[in-house]
Amino acid sequence: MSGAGPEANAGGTRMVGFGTMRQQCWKAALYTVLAAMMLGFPTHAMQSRTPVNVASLGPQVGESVPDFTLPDQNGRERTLKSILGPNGAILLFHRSADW
Amino acid sequence: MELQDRAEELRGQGLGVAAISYDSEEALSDFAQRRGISFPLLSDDDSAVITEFGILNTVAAEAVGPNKDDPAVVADTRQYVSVFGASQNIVGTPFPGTFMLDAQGRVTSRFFEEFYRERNTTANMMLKLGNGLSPIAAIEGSTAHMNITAYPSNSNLTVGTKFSLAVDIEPNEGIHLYAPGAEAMGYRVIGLTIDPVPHIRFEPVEFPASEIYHFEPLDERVPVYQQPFTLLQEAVVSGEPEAEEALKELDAVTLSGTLSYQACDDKLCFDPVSVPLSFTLDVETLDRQRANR
Repeated sequence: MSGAGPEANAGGTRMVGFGTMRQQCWKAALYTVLAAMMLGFPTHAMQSRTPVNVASLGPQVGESVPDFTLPDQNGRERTLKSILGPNGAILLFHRSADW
Repeated sequence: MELQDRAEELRGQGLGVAAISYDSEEALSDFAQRRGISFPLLSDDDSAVITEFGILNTVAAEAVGPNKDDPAVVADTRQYVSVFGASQNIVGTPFPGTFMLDAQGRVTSRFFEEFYRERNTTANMMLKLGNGLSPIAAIEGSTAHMNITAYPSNSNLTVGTKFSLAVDIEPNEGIHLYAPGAEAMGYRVIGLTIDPVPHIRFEPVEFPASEIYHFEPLDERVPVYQQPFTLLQEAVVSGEPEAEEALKELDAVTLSGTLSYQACDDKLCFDPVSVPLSFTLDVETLDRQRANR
């Protein structure tokens, strides 16, 4: 959100009255867009924000998890298959071991 | 680290164990050496696997991006990123959680937290899956009607720990105890009540499936337990900074409560019984190095 909204709007209004009719239309349209952007009308990024629901993210019960190949702490390549035991596995995702 | 303590036992159950984070191999190697970790710590240093799994913490980027002051972002930041204020180094981390997989790599259950500071312990997840690991510090006792084994899922707790108090009950031969649903017929359902403790939240007690007992004299069909069963009381240590401060003052926390029930056999019901139970868990303070997260 920008605090500069009202000023931008005032600037836009001031411009009306200059130039030809066609130019005025052009400028009015341009300033409307600029004012909308500066006033913080919903832009693409904000419109697409949906509340986080961690339960709905990632593979669900019954679904397969993606395969992967990643190095472990000893530099050895590990895959999903190499992790899985005869009865499956516990796969933990954590934030960091470093902080 | 709890998972390391349990890794051998999990392997004994035929389960593989691995942890994935965005740390470099060097950081993981250092951590594994410091903490004596032998199970695989996997380095997803560009967060590609985390992203492919669909669990990249998108709030972390928002929390340091142009919309960081948006009230919805501020609220989500506190819930999913940091209660101390966001920083760039959280970008690229996943929403923390655990997948339980079958031998084909299909998800059999999953545990993702609504507040990033709350974490299920491995032992708690296994208990909830009915696949309990060996009990720690179990108290055993018996009454005229049953044998009781009570134990916490974990021997220690810290900020945000999600653990359980488990009570294994083995009714004596010919005895039945009332299960949820029997109260509607005027019977006293077995109950576990833990006294309130500051900064610990108690979830509703989990009852296992019961069986129907046909009481012929009254032609009643009542839900009961006659076979060994387990009651689980899940508890969550608050992840709020106040709780962290309060815990620093404590070496241990004692949780006291009561198991109450009425037992009957096929002819008569015995007087209601209350059994006091208490569990003591050591307080483990967060690593100083890992404190402000």
